[in-house]
Amino acid sequence: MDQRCNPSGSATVKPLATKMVITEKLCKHFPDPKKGLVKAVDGVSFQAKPGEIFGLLGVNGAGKTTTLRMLSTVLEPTSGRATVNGFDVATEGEKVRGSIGFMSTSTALYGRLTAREMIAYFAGLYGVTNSEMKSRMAFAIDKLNMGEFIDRQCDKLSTGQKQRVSIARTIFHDPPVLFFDEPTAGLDVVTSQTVMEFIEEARDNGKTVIFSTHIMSEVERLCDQIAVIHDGILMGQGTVNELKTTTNEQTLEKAFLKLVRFESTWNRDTEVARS
Amino acid sequence: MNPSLQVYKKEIMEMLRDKRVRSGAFITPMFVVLMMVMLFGFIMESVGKKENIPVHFVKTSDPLMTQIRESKLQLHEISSEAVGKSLILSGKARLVVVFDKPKDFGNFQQKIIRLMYDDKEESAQIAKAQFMQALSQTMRDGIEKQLVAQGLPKEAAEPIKFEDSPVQVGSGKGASTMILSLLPYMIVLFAFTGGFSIASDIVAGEKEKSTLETLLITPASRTQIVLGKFFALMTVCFCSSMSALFGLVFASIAHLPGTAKMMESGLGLTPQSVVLMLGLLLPLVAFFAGILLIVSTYARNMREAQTYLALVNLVVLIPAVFSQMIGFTGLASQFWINLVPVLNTASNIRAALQGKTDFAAYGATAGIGIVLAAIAITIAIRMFNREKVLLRV
Repeated sequence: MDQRCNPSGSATVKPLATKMVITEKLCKHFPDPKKGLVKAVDGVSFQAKPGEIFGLLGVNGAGKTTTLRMLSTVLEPTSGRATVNGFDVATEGEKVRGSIGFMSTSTALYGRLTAREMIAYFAGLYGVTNSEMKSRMAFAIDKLNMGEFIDRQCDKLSTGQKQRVSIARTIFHDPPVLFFDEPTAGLDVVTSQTVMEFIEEARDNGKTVIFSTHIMSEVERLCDQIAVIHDGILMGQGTVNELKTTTNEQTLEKAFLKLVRFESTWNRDTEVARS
Repeated sequence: MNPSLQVYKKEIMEMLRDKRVRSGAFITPMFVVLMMVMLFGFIMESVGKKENIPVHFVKTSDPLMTQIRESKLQLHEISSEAVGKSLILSGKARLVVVFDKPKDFGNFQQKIIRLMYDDKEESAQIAKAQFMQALSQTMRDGIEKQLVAQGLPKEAAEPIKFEDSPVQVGSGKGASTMILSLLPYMIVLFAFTGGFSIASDIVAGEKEKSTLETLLITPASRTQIVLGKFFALMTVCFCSSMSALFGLVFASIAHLPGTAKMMESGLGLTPQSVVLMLGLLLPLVAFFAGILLIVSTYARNMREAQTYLALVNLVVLIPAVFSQMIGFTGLASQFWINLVPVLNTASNIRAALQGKTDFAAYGATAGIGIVLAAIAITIAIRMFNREKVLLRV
């Protein structure tokens, strides 16, 4: 079924079901002076439920981040519809934002605040009361092993320590939905492991996790459901095994390449003959 | 706690930890004001030290020169005009007086006194004025002696006498002319430049460092976020302006070298003038904070913001500089001045320090300031709510 937006942008929308994250024919188009209309996301529909890690798999520029930005109300959808925790992203932005935690390696910390101040600042904005703050802070410090650097300015933290502060900031207000936008990009193996363990734990605690990545091994390890996005279009959806079966491929990588209709420009026989 | 207040508190906390803000918004205004007061004070005192500039004269037997020698002038006799010229060329003499051959009109001879000096040298002009004054006094003394010898009172040498009779306008005690030129200018200027240190950081910096998106996904609305940032900027602008004022107050209290002449009439700061000044300053500071926020929101990154801020600075600087000179023109009394942003505030602060507040002009200035501040913050809020502007990187 072609899920892309109609040219007028007025997608037919059905009443939404009570899942934690639902998108229906979600579109985001940007006017570009050089390229004309850029369809960053073009008719993406999926659903994610509690206790599930839902992977958005795609190459750089596929539309994963734009999708997450729409779901977190940073961007307004051009057309289509999405709900998070039952709240419409277009009309109930504040409630949506109160229901989510968002983490990405590209989102930075305030360098001149200490880790504690940074976490407390965002907790305050998420409405965590002073009485809750103390016990939650103690829990987060213990859980993420931040005692050594909690009162150090964020500028002076290592990458791994910064990532732990980001995790604390993301979960501190105990949101039911968590968005992770390439959370391990640029991290070393040990820090990546911490992040992935944290995501698995969130799933085990009944959170709905939307996980965007282009790393196949992470998808195979973490994701219960996957949506493959390419050029803003949803190319396939299902479990890892379902995608392999649908494409008749042995590995997720090959299944992905088939779904995005990748054609290699390198002809092995010709290159061998030349050499 | 209100999200705007949380954003405000966080911004202030970050600003206070930022060396650029501490130096740019708090230390620099005080330092600059202290330096300027001492420098201008030194210049004023130098101009006042009349007897210290020596006058050279070519050797003469003219009796007038004998009389001038009795004045307080420092006189140095030289042998010839050529020597005098070489002394001027080498910078060792400011004024050389040459008694030329008198002009003969039959029954009357006119004395010719030639004054040689470098007309581009201020101290030479001062030396010339001192000499002319001494000469005038010498001639008057001579006339008085002749009048007394003829049985007339010496006052007959001055058929018309001028007497100063200052009229008190407004509340009375006001600052000196130099303070009136300097203080409103400094207060207005630092209200704007003080915010520079943080303006590029406050939104453009958040875009560049990728912290803005984290903030946008909190339940706080964009309007609440931008208001928190606006009030933080306003606080810094206001504190910077007050730092300039504190610098001047400190110079006045500490009796710093060279400031005595400048401070002899006080600063013109009375409880009334301070209240009036704050009433004008707050809308101006809000207007400046709004402009800085608009620039920072529009810019893609800190560098772009700094480029725009440099341009905006020129727009603010021109009326601010003009406000320094307004006392020398007749424009201060014209009502349209009160319709020109920045200039109107400086002009009315000047009037408040003189104790001569015109409340119609004051009301117009404050009203325009409030309207402009409201427009600026409305634009900033609208821009902050537009994803196209906010997410352009």
